[in-house]
Amino acid sequence: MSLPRDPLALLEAVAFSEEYVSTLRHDLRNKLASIRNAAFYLARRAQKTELWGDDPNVPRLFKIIDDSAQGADDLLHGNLGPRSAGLRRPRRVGAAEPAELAAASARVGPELRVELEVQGAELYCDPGEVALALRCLVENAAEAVAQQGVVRLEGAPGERAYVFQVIDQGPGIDPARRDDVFLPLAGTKPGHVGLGLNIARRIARHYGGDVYVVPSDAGAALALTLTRDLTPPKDEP
Amino acid sequence: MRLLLVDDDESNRLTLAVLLEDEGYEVDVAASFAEARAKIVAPGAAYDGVLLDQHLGDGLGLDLLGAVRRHLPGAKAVLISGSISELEGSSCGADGVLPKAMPFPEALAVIRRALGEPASV
Repeated sequence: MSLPRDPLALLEAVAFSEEYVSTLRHDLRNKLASIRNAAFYLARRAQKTELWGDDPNVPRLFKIIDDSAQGADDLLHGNLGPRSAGLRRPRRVGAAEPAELAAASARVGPELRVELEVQGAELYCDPGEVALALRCLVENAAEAVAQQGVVRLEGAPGERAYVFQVIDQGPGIDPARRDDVFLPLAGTKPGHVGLGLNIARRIARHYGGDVYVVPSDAGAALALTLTRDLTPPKDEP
Repeated sequence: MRLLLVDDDESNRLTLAVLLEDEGYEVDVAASFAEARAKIVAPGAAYDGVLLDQHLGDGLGLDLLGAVRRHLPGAKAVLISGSISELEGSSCGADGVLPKAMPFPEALAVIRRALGEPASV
């Protein structure tokens, strides 16, 4: 017996890889920048001493440091890993389509309730990609509640954006650590590397929206917004 | 010229601050979004330029631009990012955009241009 195929599997694998590479790229650039700037400062100081002229290896080795840092940065500029842009198929869709796809494919234990106001709510997006973003939020919420808990996926049109909210009955988010939930690779759940919210936010931002924590008295609530502007983003046909 | 350098990476903060001080700038530093915001909105805050790392542990440098414009209307803002493609071509509103591992002479030219200074002093 074969398991049912996950319709978001490819998008998820690529998004995960893209987010992971992006995080590594950012962190490596930080290190390269420090090495390069420190070497530049030391070289400039050394040029004012006899050492620079007396030992030809000194300028030579400083050049090797800089050239190596440049070479590493060039590698980071290259195409490391797959890009989700190649899979993106944006079109006009009703707001219900990505939400229903997310709900149908979410790998969650607790009950998932979906309540959407979709009257006349159209979006310009790849429904699979937005479904993946919503599924990341739903699965993140499901992990925060017990098996018997409930996760709610709600959606309603705002003036400029359509707003999805994923609400759980878990322990909630400490207000002092509200921004920490978006730190990449800082997951605290066993078996999870902590990229789901970053993937969701990257996708939302591509479509002129965002993901943010909604203040809540009980449990946790995360909102994912998408612009209601039906004009394709600049980098898309 | 007084600059506020905002970067959550200590090594980056130190090396860039040292190089900028060597160029004659007075450099104040902030290690987080929260610390930077507190310095920007502090009564009497006076900076000619704010250099904002885009990816701070507790927020995005881009999200500090509004506070810079409101509280430091004369200051120029330069965004620094290791993932520069996310800022390229966008109307991010900064006066300059600086790729993170750019050689210092080129980075200095970007900063000077944003501050409205001659390319070399």
